[in-house]
Amino acid sequence: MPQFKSSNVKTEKALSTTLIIAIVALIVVVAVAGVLATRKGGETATPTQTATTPSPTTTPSPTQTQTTTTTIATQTTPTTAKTLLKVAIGTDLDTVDPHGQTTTTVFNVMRHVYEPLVALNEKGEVVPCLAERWEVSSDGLVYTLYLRKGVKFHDGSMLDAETVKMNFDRWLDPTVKVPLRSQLGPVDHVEVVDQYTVKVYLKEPFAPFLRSLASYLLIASKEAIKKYGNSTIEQPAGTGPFRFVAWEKGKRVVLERFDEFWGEKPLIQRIEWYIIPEASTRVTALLAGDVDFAYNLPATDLDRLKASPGITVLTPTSNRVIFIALLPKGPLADPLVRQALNYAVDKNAIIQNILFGLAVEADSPLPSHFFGYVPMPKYDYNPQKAKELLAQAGYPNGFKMVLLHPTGRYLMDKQVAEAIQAYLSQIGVQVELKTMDWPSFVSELLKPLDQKTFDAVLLGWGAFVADAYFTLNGQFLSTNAPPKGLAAAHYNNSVVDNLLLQAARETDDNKRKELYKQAIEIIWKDAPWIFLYTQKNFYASTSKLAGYQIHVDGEQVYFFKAYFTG
Amino acid sequence: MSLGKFIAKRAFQAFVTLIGALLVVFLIMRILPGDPARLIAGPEASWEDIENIRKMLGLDKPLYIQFIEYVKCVFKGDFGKSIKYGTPVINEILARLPYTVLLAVAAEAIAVALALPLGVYSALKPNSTLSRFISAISLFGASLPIFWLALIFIYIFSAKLKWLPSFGAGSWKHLILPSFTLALLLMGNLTRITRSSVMEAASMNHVTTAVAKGLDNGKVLRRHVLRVSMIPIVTIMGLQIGSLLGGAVITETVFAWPGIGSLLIDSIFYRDYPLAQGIILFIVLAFVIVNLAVDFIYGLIDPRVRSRTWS
Repeated sequence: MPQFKSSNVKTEKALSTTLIIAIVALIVVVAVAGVLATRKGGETATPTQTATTPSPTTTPSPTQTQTTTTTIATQTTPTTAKTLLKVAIGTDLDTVDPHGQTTTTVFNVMRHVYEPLVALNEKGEVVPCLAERWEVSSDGLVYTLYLRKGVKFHDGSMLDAETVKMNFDRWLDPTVKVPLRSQLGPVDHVEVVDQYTVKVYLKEPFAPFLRSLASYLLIASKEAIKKYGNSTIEQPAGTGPFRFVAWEKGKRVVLERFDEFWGEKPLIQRIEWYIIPEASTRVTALLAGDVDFAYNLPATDLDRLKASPGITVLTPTSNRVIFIALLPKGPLADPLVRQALNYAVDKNAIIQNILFGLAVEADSPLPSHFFGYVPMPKYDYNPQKAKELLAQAGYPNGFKMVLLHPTGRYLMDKQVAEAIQAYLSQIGVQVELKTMDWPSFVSELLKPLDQKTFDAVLLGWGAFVADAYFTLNGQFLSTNAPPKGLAAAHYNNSVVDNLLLQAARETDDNKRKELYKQAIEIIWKDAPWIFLYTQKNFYASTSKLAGYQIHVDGEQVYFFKAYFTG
Repeated sequence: MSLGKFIAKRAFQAFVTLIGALLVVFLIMRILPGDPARLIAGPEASWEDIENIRKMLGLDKPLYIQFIEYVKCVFKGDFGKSIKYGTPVINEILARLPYTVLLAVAAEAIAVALALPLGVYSALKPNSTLSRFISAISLFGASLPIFWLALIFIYIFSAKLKWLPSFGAGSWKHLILPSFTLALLLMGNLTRITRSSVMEAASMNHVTTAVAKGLDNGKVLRRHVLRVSMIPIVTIMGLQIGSLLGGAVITETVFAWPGIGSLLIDSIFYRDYPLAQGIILFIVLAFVIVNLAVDFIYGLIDPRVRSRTWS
């Protein structure tokens, strides 16, 4: 529309010579207005902490008009009844299909509606859920699960062996959208033994199977599976303590207590999960009392929230390790050089000064709560030793390298990359930083080694399941190197390969731990990564909320037994 | 040109615009690096899972076949299924649309209600203190980063005063903060345009004539000044509404307002091709329609336009 443009431009020009002086006046006015408003608020608004008491009648101050007063009065009416829990999350759900889950937060919401066959307790041990007990055959190929009796689904149907088989069949059906199908393990088929017993047959032994069952396979009702077949389940019916009421896209998810739940009944009547993409808004919503619990808050607000009365700050350790994968090319092909880089970076200083303390220094490629974790002697900050190692490797004057890093994906990722650039320059390694948006970043990572335009990459690896298998096989098995997988360091060590593959099949927990120990020792010395830290999450809740449980993964929070105190 | 011909011509132009937009969007989404299958499954997923998803989404077919299939479907009114949600794109858009329209209309209404009187006043009394103040506010409003303004509003009115909810949508109270934030941004331009076009119109010969023949000031203003100065104002309003219907991305994100803008950003980050394509097509359509409406309004306001195009 040319006429639009021309008229617009003309008027813009006509106006371009206006009024910069008066801005100062405006700023003053805005500031004054702000101060006035705040002062007024102090007089009239009741603090959120007394939200459960009935709204006091607000005496209008002389400056206020009638309409404002009414607004205040209605606003201070308690919004959180004692049995309504409001939670703020950052991402909208993508699907409520139990078998289509890919995101921990979404899984977390759905876990209140659906239940797995077995669960993990706070220590990460496998405990009964829909299956009361289980047996594993000595060859590790057959899992016999004995189901709990009298478990009712939200749609009225009852849990039985047939239901469980249908869930497995749907999970395995290639025409159903199950993004993480292969993560459950090499399930071959499932057999109904009697009404409450099923046998799961694996194609090959898969040691993390029970943990993986706990973390992936949520059980939907027979009716729901029949109704939706291989299309996406849109009306969830599970056995969980809460039933699904509504998902208003981009806005909220509403769950209500299921009164016929087989276990201990929740005290909370209703949970509303609000989708608030902007983290600062989640903080304000919590401070304003608009929500009772908020996920994933900005690290910059940590001190402020810690100092806020009535707020409880939570910083559980996550499943996500952060590291710099070093590609085996150029100087980085030499293990001495890679060790040197590990000594050159002061991980503790980064954690304290950049990450607000929201991380745990790595002493293993695994987070410390993982099955298979063993601590290794840390690469303590020692630039002198780093220089010596570099000299020993034949690079006394250092070298140049390109470090690829994402921006805004992990806690302070850009700042961390910059700090590492500074540390490495102290030992003569000149780092050029390169960044990309996440999708481009991933496609760059997936290129074969000879096409990569970088030498090292800052990456995080958050296994869904707290088991060494998912981190070590994903990152160090040579067959998972890009383009096939995302084993970012292109690590290739046949001894480690053998140990990892053996560990995956070993059904004896102690023997399995021993195999991982051997693998980790080799990896730690070989240093295909600069081992950095395990990220902590930052959540906060009103101090009146109690009884919720933080899952062992440090990401999910279960409100099954939550309640308000006063 | 008759009215019928005029409409036919504009409809044809709109159609060509839409097809062009379709092609451009389709290509741009695919030129962007990033594999939707990988993004769905996450970096930790295995190769077999990724391959399976790719096949299921039809992304393993050659590009031109994907495009032909897409265009065929669009002409049948089928915009495909969202990769992320697995539901029809049209449902996703329709679910968010009411919120976007509500916010757009409210923000534009507030902006107009404030900007018109202020602009006219400062045009008629350009040297008064109040006029200078108005100009300063409008400049301020137009140049403030909206992200910051939104957070400050939330802080003052929700966290401190507790008058208004800090986020979300639902009641009229939820609408106040986002719509005022947006309105403040829109107001800046609108006030300045009003001011300058009223000033321009007031200095025209026919106005001098009207005043000279003794017409009272109110009538001169209404009949001879405002009417003439409306054209650029309506133009700006049209542009503003058009872009608001595309979703006020930042405002929606900060206030957790479930509109189209946040959905679009989401779909692009997720490489949700069908959803992003659908939304952009919708935005193009909204723009075309609003422009068409603006053209008609020109005719209503200005008889010269009417005689050129309609009769």
